[in-house]
Amino acid sequence: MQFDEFFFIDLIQTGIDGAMLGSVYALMAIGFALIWGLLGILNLAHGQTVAFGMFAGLVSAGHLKLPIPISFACAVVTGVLVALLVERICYRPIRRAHELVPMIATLGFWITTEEILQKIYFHMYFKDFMPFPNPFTMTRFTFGEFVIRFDYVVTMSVAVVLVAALYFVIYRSRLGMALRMVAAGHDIAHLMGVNVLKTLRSAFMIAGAFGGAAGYLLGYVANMANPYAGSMATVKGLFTMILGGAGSIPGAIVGGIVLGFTELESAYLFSFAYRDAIAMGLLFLLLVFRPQGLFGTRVEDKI
Amino acid sequence: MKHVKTLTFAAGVSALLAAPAMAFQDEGTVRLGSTEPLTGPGAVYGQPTIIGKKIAIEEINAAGGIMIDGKKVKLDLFSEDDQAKPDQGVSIFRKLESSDDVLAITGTIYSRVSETMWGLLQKKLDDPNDTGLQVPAMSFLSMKAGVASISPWAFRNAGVECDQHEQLIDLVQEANGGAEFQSVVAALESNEAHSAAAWRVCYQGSLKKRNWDTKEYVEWFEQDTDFSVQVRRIRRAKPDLFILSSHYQANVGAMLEMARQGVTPKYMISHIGADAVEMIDLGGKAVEGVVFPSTAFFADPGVKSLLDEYSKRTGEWYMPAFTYLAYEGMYLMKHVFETAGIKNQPDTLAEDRRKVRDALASLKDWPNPMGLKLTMGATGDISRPYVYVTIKDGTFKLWWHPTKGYMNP
Amino acid sequence: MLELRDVQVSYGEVRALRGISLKVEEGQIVTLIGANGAGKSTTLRTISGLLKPTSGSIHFDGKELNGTEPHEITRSGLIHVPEGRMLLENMTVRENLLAGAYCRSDKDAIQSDLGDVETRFPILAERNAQKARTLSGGERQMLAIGRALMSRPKLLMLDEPSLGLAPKLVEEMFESVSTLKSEGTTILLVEQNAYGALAVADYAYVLRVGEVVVEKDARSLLTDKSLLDAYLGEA
Repeated sequence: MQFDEFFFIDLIQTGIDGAMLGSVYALMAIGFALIWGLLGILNLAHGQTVAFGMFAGLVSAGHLKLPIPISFACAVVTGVLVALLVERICYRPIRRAHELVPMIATLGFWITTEEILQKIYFHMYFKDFMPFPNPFTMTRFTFGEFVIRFDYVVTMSVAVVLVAALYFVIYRSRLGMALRMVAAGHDIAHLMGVNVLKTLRSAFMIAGAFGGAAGYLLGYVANMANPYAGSMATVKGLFTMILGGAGSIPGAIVGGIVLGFTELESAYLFSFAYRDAIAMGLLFLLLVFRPQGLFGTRVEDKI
Repeated sequence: MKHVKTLTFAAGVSALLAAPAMAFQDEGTVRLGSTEPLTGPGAVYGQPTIIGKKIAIEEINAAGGIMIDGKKVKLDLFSEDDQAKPDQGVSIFRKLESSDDVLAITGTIYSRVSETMWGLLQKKLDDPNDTGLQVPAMSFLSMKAGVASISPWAFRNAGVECDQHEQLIDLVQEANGGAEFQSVVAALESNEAHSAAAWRVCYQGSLKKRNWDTKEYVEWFEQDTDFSVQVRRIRRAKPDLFILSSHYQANVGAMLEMARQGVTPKYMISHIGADAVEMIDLGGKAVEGVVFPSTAFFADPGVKSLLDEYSKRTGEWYMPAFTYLAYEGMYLMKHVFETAGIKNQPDTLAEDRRKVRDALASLKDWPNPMGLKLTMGATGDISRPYVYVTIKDGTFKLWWHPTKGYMNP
Repeated sequence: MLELRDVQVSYGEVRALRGISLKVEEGQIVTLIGANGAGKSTTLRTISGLLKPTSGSIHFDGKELNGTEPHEITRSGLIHVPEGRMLLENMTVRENLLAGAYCRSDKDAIQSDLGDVETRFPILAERNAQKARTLSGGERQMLAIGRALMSRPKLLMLDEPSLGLAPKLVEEMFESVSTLKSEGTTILLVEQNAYGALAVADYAYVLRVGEVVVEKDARSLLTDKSLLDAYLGEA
């Protein structure tokens, strides 16, 4: 940091960029929050919906040259399919076991599918970093001293629309009613006539849709697709979820923006090398004073 | 069908049983070990390397093989996959040394794996108290400074990284008309071992020697996707020399952000992390103008047949320099095996290994496939002439060549 | 209407129900009484499908329920109001009531039932926008029963509805149960408050350590004080 005539301009600009970056983190964290909130399971395989969504975007937009909205839809659908697979393999057959068992299963799914995806990239392209189509990568809006990347605006808008759709589903639909009842407790949901298993499958599908969308947008803003995006998404997504409050959806959204903001501002104000350490330290401090995270309350207040 | 299976099985068993007696010279082969990351994230480097080795071996064997003790034998590669994991490298290294009885072990790409594997080797030659392994080992990359000094049994052919940077800084200054740079800015990918070592050992040394201070210095991580903060700082410093100690993934993201923010340093230099077709695929126009050192320019006429074969096998139009280094390494092994005076018998293995080591250590003016003469240095590193490559008009072009001078300024 | 034949349930090694047989006829109030740990709640949880019996059979409305998923049992009109009420704490009173009608799709009828429930329990109408967790004990009980009514139960299973209520409210609660019966709802009532339950019930089963030890007409059991004391101890 240098305290010069650009200090405040750069401080604000960094904050804007951080919040924009954070909207992708928020999308990644929502999937974790949904599954944690409904099942109390750390779904470590969720990052793979991001990685496969990114891959679907790469194949459909980069390879098949499909229009952006269609390839975005391909990414979302792929995320949903991967999430269904996770539900089928890592949750449904072993759901009555100790909660650690499904978590270990999702860990296995993560590692295995990351290796498979890496081999697919290698087989198809002979490399693991591929250009992700983004025709607007150089487009930007200038407001006086401030600059906003067009692709970040797109990302943020898509995130806002998806979150609005999620809220509509939760508070205005029959599925949302079922989800809220399942979040209150599986027994009570059963007694209210909710098909809990089917509702959970829908929750996995919603989480997968968010993961697939996040994967597409991540590739889009970075101009790059790679098979390791899932690991990054899992780390950042879990971090975001805990910051926001385990299982809380508003927490995942605000947590993502806070994380993006903190990462970039601490890089700007303090140190590049210790950026993650600083963000982690802040999280630790927050959790000391607010163990439930920013938005976490009691267990039932999950969604 | 079952009968055939049984036969094959029986043949396999008898081959196994017969192996020790029939091995080596009498078997008509000479054994060479190889470990590279063939799967996992390191495969992007390991696969182009093993392809370089295999093309060379196929050429050598097709031409009759290697002349040892008056007889032509085939080069037999014992290839293993270390997945870029140090612990896996160590067990592979032990296996190749003790159960496969190879004459020498080639590999691996990653410095941190080579370092760990070579930690098993004898530290001091002829020291009876040193029980370290005694087998010649050679990597065709492992660029981290000082790795080959671990043991007198360890060698590299990729050159000395600091020499490359030192020469490149001289060359950009000469291209700049000898004038001092007004604003030197450096960027380090701080969580990657090779980049961090290149910055600390090579670049910082070169800057200090010239009494240059960086006007701005930024860091990022290998897997970062947002570079806006760093690039803003770079922009404020208005650099005329920009030094990248970073690999292509981060280079591309940073350079795209530089293009967005309109930062155009007069000179941009990078270490060999920029030697990847992904720079162009991912970065497009944004990466044009960057200059990096190379041991073999992919379009050099001397490597044309290798490039053609490589392209045929991978579908890639571009071949990274380390594919050539692996290819060259196999011819170097052939040369050493032929001139070391080995017997290639099971009971002469220990002395043969020592002879091979001595031959490598005393290598002098060996003409490589590109027609350049190579000599082994005291640290186990081959000193060699470098070329400097730039990205221009969507492709890689020579920027400076030892005999042709500046080419695409 | 509901019949259990020799139903056994185990939690791991522990046999919680050792062969329960009971019958609930249409239009009746049947009560299950017994001391703590006698297996009353376990019996209800088994009927509603939350627990799987290890042997025996359960018939409801002419159909065998073995292996039926709990949500399907609820949808067939067998409504369980569990002990402690299990409200949807973070939803409003109105949302809790509508959750009771989750399985129904007849929108107009749901609205009129909502009106009925709010007439029956006016306090619920007053508090309709409050979160359930802010309600008092009596209000919570009303909400739990109101929510159950919203699902138009054929058979209503109430688990300890008097638990934690002030004496006056306990009385009111038993009154509401009789009212429900007079309106034609069949009720299976689990209670520790044996006298209160027997006063409104038609028929009673006394449970001890997972077994039915006595079954009898509720009125005659109420008068048989020695028998009651013998099986219920302090009750």
